[in-house]
This record gives sequence, C-alpha cells and structure tokens, in this order.
Amino acid sequence: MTDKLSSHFEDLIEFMDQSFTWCAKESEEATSQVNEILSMLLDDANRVAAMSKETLDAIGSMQEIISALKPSGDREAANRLAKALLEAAAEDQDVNQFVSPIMEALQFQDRIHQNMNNTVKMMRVWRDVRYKIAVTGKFSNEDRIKFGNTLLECTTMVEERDLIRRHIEGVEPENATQDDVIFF
Amino acid sequence: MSSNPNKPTRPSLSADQIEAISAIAADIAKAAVAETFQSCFEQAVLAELETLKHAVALEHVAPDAVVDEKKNSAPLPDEKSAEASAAQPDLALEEPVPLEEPSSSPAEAASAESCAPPLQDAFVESSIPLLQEFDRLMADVFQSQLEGVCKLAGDTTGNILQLSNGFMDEKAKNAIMDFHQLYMKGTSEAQVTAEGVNRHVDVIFTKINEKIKHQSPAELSVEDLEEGDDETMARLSVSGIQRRLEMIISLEEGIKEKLIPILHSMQFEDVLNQRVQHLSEMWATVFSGGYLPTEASMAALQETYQELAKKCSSLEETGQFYRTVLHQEPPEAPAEPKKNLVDILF
Repeated sequence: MTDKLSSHFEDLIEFMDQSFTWCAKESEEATSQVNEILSMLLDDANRVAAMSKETLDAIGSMQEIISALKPSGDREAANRLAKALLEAAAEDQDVNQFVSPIMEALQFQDRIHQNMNNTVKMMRVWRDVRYKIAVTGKFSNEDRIKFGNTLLECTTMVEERDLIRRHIEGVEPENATQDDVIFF
Repeated sequence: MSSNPNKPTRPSLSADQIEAISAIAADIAKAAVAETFQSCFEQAVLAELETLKHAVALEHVAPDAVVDEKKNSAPLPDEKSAEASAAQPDLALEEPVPLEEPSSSPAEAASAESCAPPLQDAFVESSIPLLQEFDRLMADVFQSQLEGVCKLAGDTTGNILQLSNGFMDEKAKNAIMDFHQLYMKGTSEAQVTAEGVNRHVDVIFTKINEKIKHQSPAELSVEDLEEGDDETMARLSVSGIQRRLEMIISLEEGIKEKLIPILHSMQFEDVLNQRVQHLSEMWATVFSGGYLPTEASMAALQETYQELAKKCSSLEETGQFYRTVLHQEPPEAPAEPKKNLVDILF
C-alpha cells in the first residue's frame, strides 16, 4: 500500500496489532492460572482421595494440553488430546465436571487470539477497499457484498461470520461442512 | 490504606446500604459501556463533519488534490476489466488502482498533468458520501468484533470462577462473583482503575452516609450525588465488595491462595477490556472523520492522532502509540509499577 492516507491508517492498524499482541501475552498468563487451579486440586489430598482414576487421568491430560498450547507447544497434539478428553468426559459425569469449564476457558482464550488477529486482517481489507472507493467514487451493492465476502475470508469462527452477515446482507452463507476445531 | 491520625473515622454502612449503592453503580456502569462507542462516534462525526466541510471547501478554492471527475472520466486501468466482468467485481482483493500509470491518450495525460495533484493522493468528489457510508459499515463490524473479544475474555473468567466453585463455600463464592461483576463494570466500563479502589473512599463514604441519614438506601439515586460522582460511586461499591472479601479471607484459612487464580483471570479480563476500549474509542474517532487522501485531510488525521494519544493509559501503550502512530518518542513519564490486583487486595 503506497498512498499516504492508507499509510496513516496502517500506522493505527499496526498499533492495534501491538495492543492485541500485548493482550495475547496477558492471556497466556491467564492460561497459566488454569494450571494453577489444577495443581491446587491435585494438592488437596482429601479431594484427590475422593477422585476416580479417570478424573485424575483427565486432570493430567488437561495439564498436557495447557503445555501444548504454549507458543512453543504442539497445537496439533493439543487438539488430539482435547478431542480424546472430551470424548472421555462425555461418558463420565465426574470427569466432565472438571473437564468442561477448563476446556471452555482454554478454548475461549484461544478464540480471543483468533478474534484479535482476524480483526487486524479485517482492518487491512477496509483500508484497501476504502482507498479504491476514494479513487473511483464507486461502491455498489455488489461491491458491498464483495467486501463482506472478503471480510468473511478473514474470519476463523462462525460467530464472527454471523456478525458480518448481520451487518452486510447478501454475503455467502455458512458452509455446513466447516471443520469442528477445538483449538485454532 | 493511609494511617493518617487526622483522617475522619469511616462511617460503617449496613449490608442493605452497600447493596443499594452497588445497584446504583452497576446501573451507571451498564449505561456507560452501552453509550461509550456510540456517543464517541456521534460526537466525533459532528466535529469531523465540520473539518471535512472546511477541507472540501479549501480544495474547491485551491484544487490541489481533488480530481475533476469529468477530466478523470476515462476508466482506470483495471477498471476496464472490472467493468467487463461487472457481475464479479474483484474489489476487495485487488491491489489499489495503479494511478501512476499514464492516461490512455496524450491529451488526457496533458490534462491530468496540468490540474491533477500528486496522483497517489487523488480522489473523486463523489466518493465522499460513499466513504462515509463505508466507514459507518466498517465501524459496525469492527465494534461487533471487539465486543466479541471482550465477551470471550469475560467468559474465560466465568469458567475459572465456575471451576473454583468446587473449593469455595457459598459465601466466598458469592463474594468473589459480586466482586468480579462490580470490578469489571467499575474498571473497564466506567474507566475506574483498580488502583482507584481505595482512592478518596473515605470522603465518599462520609458524603454518602450523610445522605443515607436522611433517606433510605432504596431511595438513593444517581441524582443524589454531585455531578461527576459516577466513577467514585462505582469505586465505592467495589470497595464495599472488597471489604466482604477481606472479611472472608480473614475468616477462612487458605482461601487467599485459592482466590489468586481467579483474581489473575479477572485482571486479564480487565486489562484486555481497557486496551480494547481504547482501540474502540480511537477507531470510532477515525471512522467518523471522513478522511480523504488530501493534504488537508491527512493533516487533520495527524491532529486527530495527537489527540488519540491522550487515550493511552499505561507507559507501554503510550510508548507504542507514539512510536508507531506518531513516529516520535513519547514524552517522559515516571515509571509505573505493574498493576496487580492480588497485591491491591491482599
């Protein structure tokens, strides 16, 4: 992007990216707190004595998942472990009691990262399309839909796409065969 | 807390009084967050509309940037192919129109040379309302996206709270949940910082208690406080919950350690909300500015950026804004200790 105004906008987008990177670091800290809670549970001898082997195994798996979700970790392994864990939890009420909130907390944090990254991508689309409107003086309904579809390409989550569809009519519908991803 | 011997004794409030004040603070905070983006956007629109009108008027007097649409009526290089396939305009993914390329005829080139501005700053007048519409559309999408980020952060804390329920009794659980609710509303939405929890609280307690003496807590309303007291009200209610937490911590051995992960999670939610709030306000201002690729408009944008720098709160955020957006070193400021909710509470 070479025009001056877009370059000025890019500065603010870059700042937004830096802010989000900072937030992501804070988020890692929050993830480590989930691990703290698990350690606390395991330190409680009375509680551990009352837990089934399945529950203790599940807590161990969750600690592995948290480790795999670190920036240097193996995200594929985290997904494999998480899928296996959720299957086990579905069959055991006690295991589910521990697994569900932790998995949700981890997923939410992962989704925050996605949401922030995708927002930056969207703003760059806005910057480019805006420039084109400025120099051509054209923004038809087709262009609007095309813009919406390009925003959809910046997303990774159904919720994001639903929001775009709410604001821009006529964009592509949801693809029913999207992968059911636990961690992105 | 200060141990000043001259400090007046803090009047105590009943649980009902604290509840009533908490409810008022919650209402204030709720209203504040709903209005922040919208009001920021609308105020900025009004202000920037004037700037835009002025900028456009200037361009008409000295057209150093506006391209005359009649003179510029020849299709832009890639516009020809775009029009040929109008059913599938490849708008968003295209590179910007390469305006540096010469016009299709020598006459047009001469015409453009004689009256056109530096080409990379060119725009057509008819784009002005379209840009406003487009920016408004993006403002809506952007705001929804940011709300999604904040909601996810809140859900994360909610899950950690749920997980912690297993090792807390009902009283502690309710206190921490109330604290979470008020802390988040009081900090990110009404712009109250965690450090401010105890600030001026003695004065405010005195002031509120005086009012309570003459009317029941249920009758208290926002209007009962002086204008501008909404933030201190929120702070006060956070402080009330804080005291309940302190009492629980002092009564139950080991609860402090159990609360720490929850408080860390709350702090994450808080700092994320604050940063997102700043971005929301900054972009609301930019979206509403109707900025054009003209020298006058870009100068106005730079002025806007100077103003936006004031929205930054931490040294790190301020430094990043100055270096990345303003391309200058930030003003010197004293080092700030890292905010830590655990240290503040315990």
